[in-house]
Amino acid sequence: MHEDQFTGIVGPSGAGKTTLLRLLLQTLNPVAGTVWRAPDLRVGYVPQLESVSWNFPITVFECVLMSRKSSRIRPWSSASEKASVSAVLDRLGISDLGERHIRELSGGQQQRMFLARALLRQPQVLLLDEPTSGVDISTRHDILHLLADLHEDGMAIVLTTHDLNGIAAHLPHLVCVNNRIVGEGTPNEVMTPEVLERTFGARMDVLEHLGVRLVVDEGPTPYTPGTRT
Amino acid sequence: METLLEPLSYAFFQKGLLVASLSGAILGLIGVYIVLRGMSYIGHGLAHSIFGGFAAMQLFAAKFYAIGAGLWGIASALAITTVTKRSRVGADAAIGVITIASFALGVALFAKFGTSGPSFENALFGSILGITTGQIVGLIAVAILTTGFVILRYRALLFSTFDPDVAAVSGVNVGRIEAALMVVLSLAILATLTVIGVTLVAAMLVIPAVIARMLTDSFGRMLAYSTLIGTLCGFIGMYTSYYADVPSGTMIVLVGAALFIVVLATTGGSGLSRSAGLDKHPEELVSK
Repeated sequence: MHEDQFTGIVGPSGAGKTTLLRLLLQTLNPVAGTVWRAPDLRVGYVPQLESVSWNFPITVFECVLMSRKSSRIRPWSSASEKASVSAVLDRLGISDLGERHIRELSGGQQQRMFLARALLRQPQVLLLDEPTSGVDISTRHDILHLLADLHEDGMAIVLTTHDLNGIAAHLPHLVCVNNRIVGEGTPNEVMTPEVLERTFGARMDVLEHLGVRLVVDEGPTPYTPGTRT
Repeated sequence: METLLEPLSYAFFQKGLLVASLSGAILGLIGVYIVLRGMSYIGHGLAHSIFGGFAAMQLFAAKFYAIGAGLWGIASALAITTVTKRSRVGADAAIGVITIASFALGVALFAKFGTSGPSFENALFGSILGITTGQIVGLIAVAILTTGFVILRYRALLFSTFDPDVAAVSGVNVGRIEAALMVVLSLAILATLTVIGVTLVAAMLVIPAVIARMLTDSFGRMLAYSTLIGTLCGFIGMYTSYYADVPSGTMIVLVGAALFIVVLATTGGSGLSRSAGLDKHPEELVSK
């Protein structure tokens, strides 16, 4: 990975996207090969919303603040910590939700909250696991723009996604995985029927609309009543 | 009024009130982390394990058997976290296997080689009146240790309880924090065992935390409420046990249970939905 990387890891369920992220995070050890990471690299991580325990008693403010290592003896937050949490919540457009319980947020707001928690550590690299699953189209756009802005500011970003048209097609660099790397390059290079078939194991057509590649799933033959044999 | 003040004129009762309230506070505080980690039954298991340790240690280290029993409990607690981490065995199953096996081992050793020891009934249900100065000092030390641990490691404890994977990535040494929590928990159970009793200590680890969870959605407030509720249960339980003439441990737990019912009735659905799923490990909780 290089400093100005903005990469999407694409692949079907079970292809090893999350495993690859966890290897990068070093919460998993590789069975073969090595993961080399600069020793004092600051990494921010945004988990899949499905993996969060939503009934945990925690407010948005408490959740975001937990990633800040406390240098003080007292457990409560200092004025400067409060200010930095407010600033990051403000940047993500959820500054008025600080006192809400995490379950009370919409999917898009929850995604932003975890992004805020990751950003509070001022990471050099941001890793996101399926950042747009379960959010609506306009939130997906917002998140994509937000990530593009962070990337402009000099943050390296790697995310996993299985959303080919909504996310993958708009990223500068893609890696297609299906237990191994089957393709790597710009969307124009890897979003081809051949690479996609090797990745997803299904035939897909690729169209081009306003310079962006769009994938059309051929899918099973449509069902017509009365044709069952 | 006079009837209320009557027990306070006895030195043993004043001591009992202090010890019961302090025990409630310690278990209420540490219980928040146990309940939120989906390890509610670890209190039950560890109390039995330490009881087994008591029995066994009386044979080997007559004078320092409490220390031996504490180490026995810590070893069981650490074994649970190790087994849970390194295998497919869930925390609940690991608790069931390890603590009860260590209980059985202690009792077996005692039955084979033991001759004398504290009465089993006292240990099972708690005997606040026979408490020694040494035990009170131990209880105060554990209270200071528990509070200090929660305050000094507040964020790391919170982060590793809420989201251990991301905590590990964010520079929290999750393994060390969990091991330290198990050590503090073992010491808390060891210190309160004689007050509340082996069979009842688990309830005081869970009840205040669950009541607190029904009352608030904030982690900081849950810690404060749970400690306060634990203290109250200890205090009121001790007081009522004087009049009801039953072991203090049973009254402490019954007061907690009564409070639980009152809070459940007043908070209704919102309280229940807040406390729902507290017995599950985060990974088992899918979506909202």
